[in-house]
Amino acid sequence: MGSADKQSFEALALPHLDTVYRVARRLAHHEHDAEDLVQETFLKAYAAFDRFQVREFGIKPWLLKILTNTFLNRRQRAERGPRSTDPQTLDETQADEAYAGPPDLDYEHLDQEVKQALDQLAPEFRTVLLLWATLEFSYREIADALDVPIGTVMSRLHRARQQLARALHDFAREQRLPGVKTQT
Amino acid sequence: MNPSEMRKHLAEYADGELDPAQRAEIEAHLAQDPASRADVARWQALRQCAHRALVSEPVPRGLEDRVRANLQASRRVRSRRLYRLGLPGLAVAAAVVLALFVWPGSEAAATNVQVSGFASVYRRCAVERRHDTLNVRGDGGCKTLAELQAEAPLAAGLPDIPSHGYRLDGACWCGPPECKECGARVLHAYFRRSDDPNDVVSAFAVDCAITLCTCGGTPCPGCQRGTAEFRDGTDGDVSLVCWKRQKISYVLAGRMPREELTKLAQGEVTPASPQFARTVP
Repeated sequence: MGSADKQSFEALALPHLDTVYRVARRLAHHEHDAEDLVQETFLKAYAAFDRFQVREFGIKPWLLKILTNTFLNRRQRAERGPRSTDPQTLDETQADEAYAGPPDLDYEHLDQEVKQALDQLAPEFRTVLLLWATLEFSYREIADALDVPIGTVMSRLHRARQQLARALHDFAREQRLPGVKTQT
Repeated sequence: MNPSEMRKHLAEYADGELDPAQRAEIEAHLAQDPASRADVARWQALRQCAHRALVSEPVPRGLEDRVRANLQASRRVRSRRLYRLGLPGLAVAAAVVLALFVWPGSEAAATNVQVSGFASVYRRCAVERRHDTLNVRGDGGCKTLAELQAEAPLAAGLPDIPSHGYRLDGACWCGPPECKECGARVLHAYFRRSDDPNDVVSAFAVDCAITLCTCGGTPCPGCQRGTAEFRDGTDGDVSLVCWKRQKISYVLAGRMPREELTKLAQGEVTPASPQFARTVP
């Protein structure tokens, strides 16, 4: 890799460092693990930069793809075996759950509750939701970043949102907040 | 669209992801149904709330510097590969000089580091074997301490732990928060006994002067134990020993008596190559 390429890697990739860290932070839960993930992501990206081709959505989806793959691989390794949750199975088994719209709450003051609800999601759903919420990616951009079909993105996002809505319903019930809509 | 499909598409409508025909259909429905309009507004509020919550996450101070330093180290490795192909070894020598004299933090006063920080990395990375492949270079590959020392100049002065029956099991750039805050680089290599996988020793090399603190005092009143050269401390069942060589501080951590760990620390230095032998004590 030439020195111009190295500089262009830093120029292209480092502006997205904060975003990559924030996604890593919610994936890994701990600050220490998140930074570790970020370091590994940038080293891998740098090592593979020769093979990177700037596509429609730039370098950010590529960095996030490396990040999520690194995270899922680590998780798999930590569990010393196959993943406990097969995403395809998750997509299928939860497909028939009843629709839960978001409860009628004051969303200006629910940041912590949303973060906690997000942390409870299965990693495959959490990843999609993070890209959707943190980066405000379109479904196509999420599909590009995660290298999955757009239908999978829509299905996982739907389930993730449903779980988020249910968690907030539960929170509202526990807090006995007024105006909570009954689930249908 | 039946009512169930209609409700399912409300969130997608809120995201602006429907095609024109679906959008028109939803909008016709919304004009008739205030409850669905409220749902759409809440989906939008929920997304904004999630966005706000996530982007307000603070990013650690100095993260960019540490990532840049890692990338820089990775480049030095590539330079060394060029050296192996027959080019002059100036790049490697320059890397060692940088490691010893130029890197940020090398001239700083001793930084007080809690033993718990090193012990935490020991438990997280070494005992749990977080880094199966050595990610010091970003592409894995180091199998021995000598290879690691050749690839990462900061590891050059680590004691010869493999000669005591351990094998290199992993390495990373993880370190205690105090080191990160002052911009120091920390190389963490960990070793496991071949005949006892539960016997794990971590070796840290830090490119600044540090003192181990066990009391948590700010400032620390001087709680260190051990000899003048090899200071030690404990955190739960983990013993730690710290010493300095020129501009580099070293720390060993392991579940064994402090005296045994100090013996490991006093082991001979094994320079990886003649280049290191000239600069490493």
